[in-house]
Amino acid sequence: MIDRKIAMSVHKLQPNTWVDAYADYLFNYAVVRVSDEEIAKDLIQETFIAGLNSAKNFKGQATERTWLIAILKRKIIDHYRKINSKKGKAEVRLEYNASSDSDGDRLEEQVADPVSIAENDALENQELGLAIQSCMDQLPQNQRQVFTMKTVRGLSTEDICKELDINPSNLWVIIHRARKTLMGCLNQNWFTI
Amino acid sequence: MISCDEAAVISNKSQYKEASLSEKFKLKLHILFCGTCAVFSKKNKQLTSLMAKAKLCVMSDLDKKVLKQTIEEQL
Ligand SMILES: [Zn+2]
Repeated sequence: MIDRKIAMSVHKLQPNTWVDAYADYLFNYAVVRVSDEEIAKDLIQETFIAGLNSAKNFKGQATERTWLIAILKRKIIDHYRKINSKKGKAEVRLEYNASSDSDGDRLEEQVADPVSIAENDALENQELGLAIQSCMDQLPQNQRQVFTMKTVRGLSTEDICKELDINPSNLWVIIHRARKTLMGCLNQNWFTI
Repeated sequence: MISCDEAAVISNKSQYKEASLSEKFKLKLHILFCGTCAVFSKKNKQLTSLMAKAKLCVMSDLDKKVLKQTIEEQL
């Protein structure tokens, strides 16, 4: 964690830490907007590859995460553009028969804001979700792993203990530390106490 | 009367519906006399509802492994 803070403060890219540090954050960001986990996974992969290819353009003013989110946003827009242009081409072809002055420019206008397309309850909680994920990403590795298995994946205490070869009291100590840290990390505004 | 540490464990177990009735009773009793644990317990419950509201998803370990390999190959 200390290492990452140092890395963040000088804003240098460290692609070999990207998956552990940002994949879940980017994934949650994308899932809400494309409403499909498989598509979201593909978009994350494309984002990382695009990030590597344009690493020389990273000026270091932004943090790695902000920079990757900016790339992901473009990937999401491209994704909707692809979907819309397939649909759009069919529509234009139909319209072309009716009136001859329709042109390709309309395609661009039809590309809607991905946010408004995926608008739903989940999006309202997006800010909360990303705030939590961001705090989880800062937990020490073992706390993050156990808390995620227990709380996000909803695995049983028994299964987690078996998989990680720990005993239940270890598990509850780790869960306690994680929950306590999250309470401190999450902005007080989210709580009513 | 249970200790604050024991109270915290029960409060945490309750968030995953893993506290027994008698444990929950002991926690309630403890909270009557301990403000610190009362606050922790209340915040703990709120953290649980926030987590539920956020509907987080995670990539599987396998997906992450594939991603890591993809990055390494490009480096
Ligand atoms: Zn107490």
